[in-house]
Amino acid sequence: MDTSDEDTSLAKRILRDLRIIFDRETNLLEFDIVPVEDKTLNKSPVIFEDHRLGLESWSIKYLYTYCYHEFLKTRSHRARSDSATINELTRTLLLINPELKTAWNCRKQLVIDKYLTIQDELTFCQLLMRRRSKNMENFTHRQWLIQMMVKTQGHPDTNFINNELELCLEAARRYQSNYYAWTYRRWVVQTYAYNLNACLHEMATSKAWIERHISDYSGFGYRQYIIVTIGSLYLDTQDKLLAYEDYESILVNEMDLINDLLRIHCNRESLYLHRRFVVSQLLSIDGSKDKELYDREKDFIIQYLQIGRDKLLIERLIRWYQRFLNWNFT
Amino acid sequence: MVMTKIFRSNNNEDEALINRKLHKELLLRIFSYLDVISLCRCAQVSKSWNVLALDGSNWQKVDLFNFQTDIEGPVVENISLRCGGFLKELSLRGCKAVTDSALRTFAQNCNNIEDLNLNDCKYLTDSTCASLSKHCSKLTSLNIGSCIEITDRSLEALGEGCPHLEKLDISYCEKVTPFGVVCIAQGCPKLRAFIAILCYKINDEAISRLAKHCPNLEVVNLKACCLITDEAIISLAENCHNMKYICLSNCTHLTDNSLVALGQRCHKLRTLEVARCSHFTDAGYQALARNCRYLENLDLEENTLITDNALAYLSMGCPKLQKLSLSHCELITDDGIRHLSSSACACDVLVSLDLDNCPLITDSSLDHLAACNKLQRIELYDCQLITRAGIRRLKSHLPDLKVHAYFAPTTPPPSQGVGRQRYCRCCSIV
Repeated sequence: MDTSDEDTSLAKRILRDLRIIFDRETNLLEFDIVPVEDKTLNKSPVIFEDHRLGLESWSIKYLYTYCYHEFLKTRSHRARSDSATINELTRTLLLINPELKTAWNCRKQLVIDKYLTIQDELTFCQLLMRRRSKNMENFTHRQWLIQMMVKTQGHPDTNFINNELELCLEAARRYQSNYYAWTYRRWVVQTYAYNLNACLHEMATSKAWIERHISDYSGFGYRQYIIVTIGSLYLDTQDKLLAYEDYESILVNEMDLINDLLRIHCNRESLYLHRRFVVSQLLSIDGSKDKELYDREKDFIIQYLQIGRDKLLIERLIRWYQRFLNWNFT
Repeated sequence: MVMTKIFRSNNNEDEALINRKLHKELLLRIFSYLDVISLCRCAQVSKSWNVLALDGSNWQKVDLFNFQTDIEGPVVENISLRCGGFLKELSLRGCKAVTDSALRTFAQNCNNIEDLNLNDCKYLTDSTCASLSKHCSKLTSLNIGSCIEITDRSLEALGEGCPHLEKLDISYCEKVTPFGVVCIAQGCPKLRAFIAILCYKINDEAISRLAKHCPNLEVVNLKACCLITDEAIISLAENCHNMKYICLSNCTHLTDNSLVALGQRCHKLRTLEVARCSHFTDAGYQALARNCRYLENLDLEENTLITDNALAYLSMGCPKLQKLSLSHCELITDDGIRHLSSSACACDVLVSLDLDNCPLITDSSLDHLAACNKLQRIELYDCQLITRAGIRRLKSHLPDLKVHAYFAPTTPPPSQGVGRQRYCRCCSIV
């Protein structure tokens, strides 16, 4: 009882320190937990410098325990705690642990109640994303917020969409194989930028990205989605033959890209997986090209076998061709 | 078994045992001791109990704060019908859904209401106060804090219809202007407590009139009424000699003249809260401490000009000081704390001391404070010269003390505190 009283007071004090900063500073760039276990000074664990917020790690235990218990209390008799308290508690909880879905949902309620504006909440999401980039809850919340925004304010402008796309890229950069970020990007494109121009632009962006992140298959997965989308967009807008022709040229370019990348990078499975995708797409347009493709792949494989490059991966590729396309390279 | 016999009617007899043994009057008497929840449960037992439990005489004091989300207009109307003239105290604090029409019915039915708490009933408007003024002349205490729609018209009506009003809380009613306060002053001469936090339009004139008409004022809270200047406080001090509690926090225009006036006239003052009145200096507190010997509670947060001398005066003049806040008083040093801890109040009375953000305080202050036997709580946030060792030393003297600092509170149990030397077992045997 003795210490828990002091714990509570300490937690409340830290909350107050945080509140002062959040009230004053609208443009927080970053938040993180600073590893300070050894306390020597009687100084607030809240560090604020140059729009960046830090929290010394020794205080997390007290702050989180307090907030979590208070938060659960507010959940059990919801109406008795005001929005300000819920906002503050969930904000702190999410800063420390962004996986807490209940807290996210509580914040959704606050947005519905118009206590929080959608714009502020988007900024808050972005702040959290900089700390934990691979976090599904955060992306889901963001998606929900944007849907809310569209419902009330209509379709977002290109500027906004570009911001969202840039944000995904940043998240993907910060955490490799960030499938959630790419899924979110896919959602944005599918919902708000579903046109040929945007998709071709995405192809360029994604090319730059995969060239730099060669082993990140999430990025390739997204690229494959874009390629397929472009194919179906061609079909929607053009005559069938013309559409296939355009789509094929895209795929052939893609194959060239893969070959270039394979020459530079050794032993990258993602490239081989992508190759399989391109081959199967090419076949899906025009089955009659089977022979031609087979020859080309055979040349490729023989060449790589001769120089003894990517041995294991080449063997896998052969097996895959055998099993799914019935191609034999004996 | 026994319970069954008492409550269930036996064979063909109509009445349960408890009803045959206890007269209606006795049951009623028993019910009068029950709280609202128990009464409602009793009302579900049988028809006769329903009548008795819901009898108005059991419902003299009703507090619905715990049910605030469920309470809507019709509930209040039903209660008022049920209780009628019996109801003397009603608290609808936080019952946001209550509306004017419900309270109109209430006022018509419950004429004898004395204590009414409507805090945070946000939809109430002036028409509620008009009904109260018309029907409830016995009202002595009214809380309409945070009823944001309330304007001067309410206060005007209350001044006309409720002359016995002793306690009025209009905190956060930001629409109230000096005119409303003057109406109250003229109509309610018995006023003892006036609480008007953040009624920022209130000015000197209004408070002066209040002071002149209501000499019995004991409690005044003008927190964040930022137009207030010395003039208002001087007139309060001159007219209301029984003043016990005064809160002037965030009234940033006040100067030492206020403290001097309070010191000269209000000798019974117990609590003074003057956080962020940053013009106050040592001289003001010297004057205050000369006469206000009963001061128990002092909040001097962010009185940035005061120095150790102020603490010396206060520790000489106020032997009953229990709680003292010196947060953000940045000029206070160890010397001031030494004065405080060597004074009469320190050993036996001082319970709580706030020293957060006093950057000059060091561990030697804590050593001085070890003499304060009754100290239960000390706040030391952001005093960066304070060390963990200093706190440990203090705790070894005062094991029950709660220390609030930015150190993780994992101090070892006070029984084996540092400072006492420890011997190994073999030595202690020798």
